[in-house]
This record gives sequence, C-alpha cells and structure tokens, in this order.
Amino acid sequence: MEVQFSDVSGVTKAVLEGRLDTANVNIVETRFIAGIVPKQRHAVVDLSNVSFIASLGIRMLLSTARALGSNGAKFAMYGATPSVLEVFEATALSDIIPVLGTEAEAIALVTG
Amino acid sequence: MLETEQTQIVTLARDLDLITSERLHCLEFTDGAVDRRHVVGPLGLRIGRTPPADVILADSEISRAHCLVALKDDELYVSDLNSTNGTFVDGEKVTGVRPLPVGSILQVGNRSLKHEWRTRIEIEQSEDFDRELERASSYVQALLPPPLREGPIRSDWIYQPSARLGGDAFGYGQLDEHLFISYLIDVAGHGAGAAMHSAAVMNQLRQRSLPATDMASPAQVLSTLNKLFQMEEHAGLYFTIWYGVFDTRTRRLDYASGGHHPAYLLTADRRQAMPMATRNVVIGALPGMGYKQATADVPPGASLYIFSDGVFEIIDSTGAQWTIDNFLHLMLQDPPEGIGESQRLYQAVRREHPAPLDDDFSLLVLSFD
Repeated sequence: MEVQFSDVSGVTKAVLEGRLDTANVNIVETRFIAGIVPKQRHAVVDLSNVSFIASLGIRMLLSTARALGSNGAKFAMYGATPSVLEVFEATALSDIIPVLGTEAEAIALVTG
Repeated sequence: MLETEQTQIVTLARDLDLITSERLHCLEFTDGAVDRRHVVGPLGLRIGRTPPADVILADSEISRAHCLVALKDDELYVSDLNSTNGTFVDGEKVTGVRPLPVGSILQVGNRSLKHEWRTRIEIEQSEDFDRELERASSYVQALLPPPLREGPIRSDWIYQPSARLGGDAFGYGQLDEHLFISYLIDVAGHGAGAAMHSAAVMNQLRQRSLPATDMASPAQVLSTLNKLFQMEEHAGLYFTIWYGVFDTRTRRLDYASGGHHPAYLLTADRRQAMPMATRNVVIGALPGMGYKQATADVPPGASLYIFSDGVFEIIDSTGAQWTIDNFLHLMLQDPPEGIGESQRLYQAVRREHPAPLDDDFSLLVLSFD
C-alpha cells in the first residue's frame, strides 16, 4: 500500500495505491492522516488505483474528513473504481465526503 | 537532576532485560491465526498437513510433510521436503538448505510465517494480550441469544470471531406480543476496543428501549443510536447496522440499514432473493443525520439472511476478491439435509478461503412460517 502527497494549487493531493484492507490500513493510516490533517487546508484523494476498500479504510477517510472539517477545510475524493464506488454507495459515504470523477472536479469543488 | 536519575534507572532496567532474557526463534503466522506462534527449538520444526508434523496446517496446497525448519548455531535454516507446491522464503523458492534470517517470510501453501526473535517477556506480554482478546470474545458471545428451534419464527446463526476479534454482534426477540425485532451490528476495526464498543451498543439494544425512541421504528432506532454513539466520543469507532421489525399480524417487515449492505429475503422456493437495505450513513459518522426505513411483505415460508461483511469479503482460492454477489450465489443453492443453513454457508465460504478469516463471520438466518 502506497500513499504519495503533493501540492496542487494550494490543495493537498494524496494518491492511494493498492488494497485498502485491514492490514494495509494499519500500515498507511498514520502516514495518510499525518500528511493531510496538520496542514489544515483543503485536500483531495486520488482513488483510481485502489482496488478494494474495507471498513477500516472507510474509517480512515471519515476520520480525515471530520478532522479537516473541524478546521474549516474541505475534503473530496475522485477516480474511485466501480467496486470501491459500490462500497461508498452501501455505506452512503458519499453523503459525507463528495466523490468526483476527476482531479479537476475534486479541486474545483474544494476550492469553490 | 531528578530527571537524569530517572532516565538512568530506565536505561539500566532495559539493559538488564536484554542481558538476562533469553531470546527465542519464533515462526509467527502473518494472518493473525489463533495458534499463531511456534518456537523453533533445538530439534527444529516440521511443517506439514498431517502428523507427525510439529506444525499441522489444514491447507490443500500444503503437502503432508512439507518443509523442515532447523536451528543451527543460533540461526534458522529451511529445507523443502519434496513438497508438491514448494517452499518459499521472501518469495524465492527453496532448493537445498536455505537460511531463514530474522524478519524473513516463510511461505508454505496459502500460509505465511515470519521469523521473529523474541524475549520470553515479549512472548508473555503477547500471550497476555491474546488472553484478553479471548475474554472479550467470550463476553460478546455471551450477549448473543440462543437459537429459536420452534415457533412461527425460527433462528439459526453462526458467529465465528476472527483471530484479532472484530466488532460483530447481533440479537433478536419479541418486542411485544406481535412484533419481532432482529438486528446485526458491525463495528469497524478489530481488537478489544471494537468488541467493547459492540458490547455497549448491544447492551442498549437488548434493553429493547432507547431514550425517546419507538423501538418499532427502525429509522428512529438508527437515528437515536447515531446520537448516542458519535465516533468522536467513542475512540473514533463507528458501526454499521441492519435493524428490522416484523409484525406477525400483517407479515410486514419494516427495516433500515445504516451503512450496512443488504439483508436478503429468500422465497420458500429459493428462486428469489430480495435485497433489503436503505441508503443511510454509518452510525456515528455525523450528528444530526436523517435515517430512512423501508417496508416489505414477507411471503409464507420465506427466510431472512442478515450478515456481516466478513461473510463475503474474502479472497477465494483463485485469488479473486469476493463481493456480496458471490455469497448470494451460495445462498440460493438448495441446502442439503441434515445441516443448518448458517453452518452450510460457513463451510462453503471456508472451502473457498481455508486460511484464517480476516474479519468476524456473523450470519443470522430467520425462517418464517
């Protein structure tokens, strides 16, 4: 499981890659949250290379969204594969964290 | 000055621990199996599928006598015993005798073991932790209701906690003379924390009473639970839930799910499986969320399957990730005589995934007259 961070127009961009299963969330969660939350600014996550997401992965995304939201920053996701979108639908996660198709749409949403 | 003295004492204690503690070479399953640690002694360890192997693994990919791990000059070495599928160290096939350094992964069949070099104190602490998990698991199991063998609504269930213990729990019973409730919760996460959280939720639901809530209204129940169990106030834990209320007079089932996949209502002829879910967020994610419920008619002889995601989120023997549709296919098969439905499905899933389960396996089947 990999996570890479970069800066796009003042927005933190995180790219997750691999399976967000229980074992991998345990490995990546601290790095993921530490790479986004302390900056206290808008963030987007690229999920196009995430093939699976378990409940702990949902928890990681929810915790990040809530922590950013408490600082007035926005959080959005984009590029989710059909199997990951299915989980977002079942958990209604997209009611809390916007799920967009492309990076440009996600950036526009958080900066708009 | 005082701080310096304290630091010295701590350092000395640690040094003493390292000097006096004998270190042991251990092989530990990386998948969190219950019997997960095997100490390699002077006689070494034989790994295989049947006795007289020291470590017996019920995995069809593993030969009867698969490989031998030997201890020599305080180092581990592994040799393959002409196994059908081979032995691997860090992904490389073992030919002849090969060193197994500390930290390396030994792979046999579908199982992986890591070479750890541990002090007795570390092993004891780890075993204490395992015992705590077992106690937490027993506590959750004690909260589950006994199966209903007779009456207009029968129940059959299986609860198999994973080695690291997840946060599944479920319950059912009469709310009053005519209303029968059933529910299943799944706390995200593993370990004693998740189990404690599920026990706290269960203890609320078992009372058949929540503050200012009509327990016959699934939407109200979910809404109140969301108020009571916000994740920020509960160590970052959230849970999913399926909650249903069946009225024996009208055969109407009101239900709601919060972040949970559908339960399925199977007709008596097993030709149809109706998914039953409402699109609601997980419980604890955000305060003030509205929750929706839905209604279905329960035909005579129908069965209701309520389960956690640990039942279908497996990787099968071909390496494919299962979805709920794979499990649905199993559900619709005709059950053989002489085996309970929950046990039949558990065995079918375990045939596809013989390695220890990553998550709790909880399945409740309610059968209606």
